[in-house]
Amino acid sequence: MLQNVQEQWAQETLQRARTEMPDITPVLAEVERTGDPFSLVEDGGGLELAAHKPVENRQNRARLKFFTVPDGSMRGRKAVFFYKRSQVPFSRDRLSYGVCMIPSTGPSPREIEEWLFFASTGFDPAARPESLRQAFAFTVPD
Amino acid sequence: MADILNACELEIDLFCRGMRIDPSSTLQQDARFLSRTRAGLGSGLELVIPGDLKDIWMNVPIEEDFAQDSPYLLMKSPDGYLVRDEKKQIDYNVQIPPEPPWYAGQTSQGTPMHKVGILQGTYLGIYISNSCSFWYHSPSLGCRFCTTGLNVGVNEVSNKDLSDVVETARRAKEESGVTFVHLNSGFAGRDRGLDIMAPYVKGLKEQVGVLTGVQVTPSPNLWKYDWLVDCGTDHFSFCYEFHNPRFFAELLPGKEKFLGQRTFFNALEYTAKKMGPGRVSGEIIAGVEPLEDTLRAIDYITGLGAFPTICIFRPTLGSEMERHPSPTYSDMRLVMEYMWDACRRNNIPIGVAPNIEVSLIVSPDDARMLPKRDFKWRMYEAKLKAASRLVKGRFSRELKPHTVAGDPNRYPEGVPEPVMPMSEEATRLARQEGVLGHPVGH
Repeated sequence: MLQNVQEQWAQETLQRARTEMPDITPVLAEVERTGDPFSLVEDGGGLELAAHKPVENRQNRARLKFFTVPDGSMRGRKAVFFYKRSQVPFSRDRLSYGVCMIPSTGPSPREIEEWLFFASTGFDPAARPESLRQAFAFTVPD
Repeated sequence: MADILNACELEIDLFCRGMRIDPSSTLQQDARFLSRTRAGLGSGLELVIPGDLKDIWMNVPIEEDFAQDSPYLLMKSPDGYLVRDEKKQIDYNVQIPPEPPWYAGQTSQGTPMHKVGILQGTYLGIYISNSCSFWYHSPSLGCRFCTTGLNVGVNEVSNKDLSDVVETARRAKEESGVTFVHLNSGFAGRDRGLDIMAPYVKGLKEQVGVLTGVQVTPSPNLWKYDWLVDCGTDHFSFCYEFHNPRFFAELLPGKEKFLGQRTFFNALEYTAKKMGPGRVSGEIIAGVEPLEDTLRAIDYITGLGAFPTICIFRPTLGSEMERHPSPTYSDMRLVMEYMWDACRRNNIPIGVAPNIEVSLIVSPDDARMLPKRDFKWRMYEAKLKAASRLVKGRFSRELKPHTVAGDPNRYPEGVPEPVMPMSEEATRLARQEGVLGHPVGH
């Protein structure tokens, strides 16, 4: 369930993201279908989701960023980046858990389910998506 | 635990429990930015704890989830920063090292300097190669505690250019007083680690004038270490992490599959013998394998005349061991005092190199604050002072740019054909060099 979808900026972000990256449409549908809470991130750039299901009584810090690979041999491919934001307000660091490449035919329902479940668990190592690449040689844009 | 901790005890407790940050802290203006590099241990906040023998530099865990449960809170008061133990209501004054101006600089190729290297304590740490090959296997063979493969491409540039490295090191030396550059890399596949490092070492020696350290997976071709020394390497470190072979095999699957624990020991023994006391480090992680294995590792490393580099286990975000508990203060205090005593017993020269403070570990130099200051303690202190005086001239020469003899692009004449780790030839070569003499492990 997407918590802040009613806000004006969220509507605009969603509209823009659906045009630029049609692959996210089934992702958003799955977010709505699952009972786990997510929200759109306002300053995320592109489309970014934050998971809110608490993990071991702590705040869930998991985020998913949908983006287009800007460099390297995968340039132009779509991907989803799993990361946590630093707990320190001034830090520029992103704490990466890896990426999943989105197939050119679009993600399968199982892949989407795995991505969202991984985020809802706060990126539990035991819940890693099958296609997760922890190491990759391209830049994830800010 | 005594109510008020000395600087080293506080360092150990902060490594074990992490720290929260109070909104009064204005770190954006006051601190170095955080960067998760070097296997993730540098993910924390750089802090200086004033001590009676020396100031202690450390990198306090703040990003990991366990830090949220810490009794320690970083606060800013009108007199500066303090760490408050909220449980015991004790305040400790600390300093936050500022971000050096060169972090905001760019190399002549336009690479941000903070993406080339970062200060870890008072030395410059540079992760040279494009990640670690262990991470590119499916399933990953990366070390279970490590997050190196998660950094490149996200927080760092993936390929370090030699001129970028030289320019960054030069600025770090000029503006931050850096005397030591530590070059680090993950597994480069086959036996390429030292080959990759050679040009950087020579460049730093000839164009900057700094002490250089190399940390790569070990080579079975022990002659390569002589070659690297000729190219300008002052120090080697070997991260074998766990002394207990079972923990080594299970938690370091890539190192187990491609190198084997014995390859680490061979390289450590060979270089320790060649280079003399304190010029080589054996690096291990405390707080995961049984305590007695950690103590055995300390005895083994210091028995060779090598320097024990002991990291307190940190369950870094993104690692396989993210949900493994952080170790306890009492265990880690015992380990660190034992480490100091092992250095004393083996006459390891600690704290003699100029301006090298390591923030990622409790160094033996920090651990001088742990034991009772008895006759043995005073004798060792006197020896260390004398050693510092003796090596002053050598360090001063090393800190000037100078030509080194080694050719990083060519192996020396007459060396044997390179062999692979764990091969019969590797064992034969090691025996020929007089290593493989120390039974270790179980």
